[in-house]
Order: sequence, then structure tokens, then C-alpha cells
Amino acid sequence: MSILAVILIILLITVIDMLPLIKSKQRKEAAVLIALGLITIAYGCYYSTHRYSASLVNVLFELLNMR
Amino acid sequence: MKTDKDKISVRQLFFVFTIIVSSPATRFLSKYMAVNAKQAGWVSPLVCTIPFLALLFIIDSLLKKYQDHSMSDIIEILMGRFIGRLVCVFYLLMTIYFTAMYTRYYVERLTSSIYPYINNSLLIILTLIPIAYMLRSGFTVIARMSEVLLPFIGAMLIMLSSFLVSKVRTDNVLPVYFNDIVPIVKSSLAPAAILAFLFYLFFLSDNIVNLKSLKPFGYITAYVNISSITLLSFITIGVLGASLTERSPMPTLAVVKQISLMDTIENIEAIIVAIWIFADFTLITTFFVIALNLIKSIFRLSDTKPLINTLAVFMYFLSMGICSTKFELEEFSTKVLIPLNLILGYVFPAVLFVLSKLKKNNPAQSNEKG
Repeated sequence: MSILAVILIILLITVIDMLPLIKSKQRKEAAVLIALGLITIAYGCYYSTHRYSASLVNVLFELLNMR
Repeated sequence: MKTDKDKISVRQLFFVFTIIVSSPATRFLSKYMAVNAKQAGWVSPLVCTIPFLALLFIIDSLLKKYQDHSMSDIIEILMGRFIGRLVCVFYLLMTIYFTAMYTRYYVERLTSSIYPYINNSLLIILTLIPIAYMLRSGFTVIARMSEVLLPFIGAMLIMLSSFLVSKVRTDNVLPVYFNDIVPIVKSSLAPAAILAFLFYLFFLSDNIVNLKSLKPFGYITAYVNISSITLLSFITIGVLGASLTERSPMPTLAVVKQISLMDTIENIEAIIVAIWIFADFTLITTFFVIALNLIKSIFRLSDTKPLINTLAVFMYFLSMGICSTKFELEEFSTKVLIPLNLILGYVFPAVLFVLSKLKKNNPAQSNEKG
């Protein structure tokens, strides 16, 4: 999956969920949804560029210095 | 506003708990016990009885003192707003990690048992779409489904065990000496870490009714879970032997494949695969709901339904990128997650219990008096 496709899919899903929140003026929920969408885009882009080497577990092992 | 219809009972919660324990129990417990305590491994779940009952007592005491509060509220009351929220954020990260990890384990188990030529990505999508759809109806659906299906799972476990009892070799499970005490205690860490999931379930405590019966149902749950884990490990180690169990990638499946009734009924491993699929589905959904509830508590949201789809997409990428091979994930679970889960599931609730005893008044009660 290319980066553009990842961004488009996440944006589409987030916007669809965002519309009823904007209509009902649930600002806090909308803000959390935007934050979650941005985190998903960031991790999705990271995954799509490191598809064969991405390993959160390896990153955590290095952070914890446990190997 | 939530009505009682949207809430689940303690009994249903313990049904869900028993199902979510069965998934990791069938996946790796027998193997872990065989590695650490060899032929005496099957005794180790019995050691977990004491910490599990202590955890039940602590949760009951906290929920009695702070009625109608979720566990995240109780943490904030006892530890202060800033530290309390920080702790809740850590639990949220752990819950999200568990959801992604169990999704990946589920998919890896399917690809290594029945669907070897199917892409992980497709199986993850096929898992997360029904979960996201089902969660729109609330957690009550999963709780009721567990209530219906748990008796069947129990019956299947008893049936499979009765078929396999004749194949158990006594020299595979005996002798158990005094020298085995240390390895038994060491191998009891894994079942204890899995049973610590009980504490995570009480982040949903504002959605649970009839909390007064927590202790009696808790005792029954402790008995059912510990005896079933003991039975499962006894059968697995007893049939395969410790050395084969520790080398086998899926010892439970290997044992079930050996069932043969009068040379006519064979290959009934489909039963265990069906149990896995349902147990993993419940496990992933439960952690998903806990994550949503923690987000709701941390950000003081009124509704989390709009977050379900985006969180499911995030879970997809996280479970795909959590590891490059299954072995990394297993190593991380054994080296890091078991000790961490023991701290989060037993030590931290004990700290909360001490703090609740040191704190004289419940703020809700003092407000009422004022």
C-alpha cells in the first residue's frame, strides 16, 4: 500500500466519523478523533515505508536494552 | 445516559474473563511450564491461586469503597489527577499493545494451523471489520455471546480431556519432588500473568452491575480457570512429555491431533480451532473496549463510538508492524510482558489497596455529608 493510499483511506474514515460530531458540536470528541487520525497516518506511513523491516517489538527491545 | 440494559453483570464479566484466559492458555502455557518445570509443570497453575484470590479481594475492597466509579476514576481519586491520568495513559498504551499483539497472534495461529497460504494482512482485516461493526452495538453483545458459548467450550474441554486421559503416561507427569518447588514457582509466573487480565477488565467497572456478588462469582471463576489450566497442562505434558511439549510450536494442537476413537473418529482438531477463533475474537474485542473506555476516562468524552473505525485502522497497522516474525513476539512476551503484566496486574492494585486504606474518606461520601 502506497503512502498516498494510506493517507487517503485514513482521511476518508476520519472525515466520515467527524461529520456527525461537527453537527452535534461534540468538540472534544472531534479533537480526540483528529489526534487519533494523525497518529494512525504517522504510523501507517512508517509501516508502508518499512514494510519488510518494521518491528515495534525490536524497537522496544532496543529501548529497554534487554537483548 | 446509560441504562441497565447497556451494562453487563459480574457473572457475564467472569464468563468473558474465562474465555479470554483460555486463548493464551492453549497457545503457550503448557510450553512455558514444560520449559521451566519439565514434568512438574502441570502443578504450577495451582500456585497462582493465592495471588489471584488476593487480587479478587483487592478489587472487591476498592469497588466497595468507591462505588459507581470505574477503575480509572479510582486511580485518579487515590493518586491525584496528574499521576492518576499518567498511570491511565500507561494502561491505555498497554491495552492498545495487547489488542495489536493478540490480533497478530490470532492471525499467526491461523496461518500456521489451517490457512498456510493466506496473507496475514487479509486475515487481520477480516478480524477487525466484524469487531468494529460489533462494537457499535456495545460490549453487552460480546458478554451475552460469551454467556451462551462458554458452557460449550467447557464441555468440549472435558470431552477432549476424557478422550486423551488414556494416552497420559505417568512417567511424563511424575515424579514431583521438593526440588521442583523453585521451577514450579518460576513456571507459575506465566499463568499468573494471564490471570492478571482480571484487573484490566475492571476498567469497565462503570458498565458493570451487581458488583456485590463479585467475591462469590470470583471464587467460582478462580476454581474454573485454575482447574482448567491445570487439566490442560496435565494432559499436554502427560501425552507429549516435557521435552516434546517444549519443542512443539503448538503443543495443544499436537495433542488434540492424536485423538482417535475406535479408529473411526479422527482429526477432530477443528474443535480446538473453533474454540481458538471464538476465544481470540472475544479477547481482541474485550481489549478494544477497554482501550475505548480508557480513552473516554482520560479525555472525559461522552461517547467513543466515532473513534472505533479510526482505532481499528490504527490496530491494523500496529498488528502488521508489531513484529517481523512470530518468534520476536514470543520472545518479547516471555521476557518483557510476563514481568510487566505481573506488576500491572498484581503489584499496582496492591499499591492502590494500601493507598485506599491510608485515605480516610471517599470524596463522594464526604461531598454527601457536606
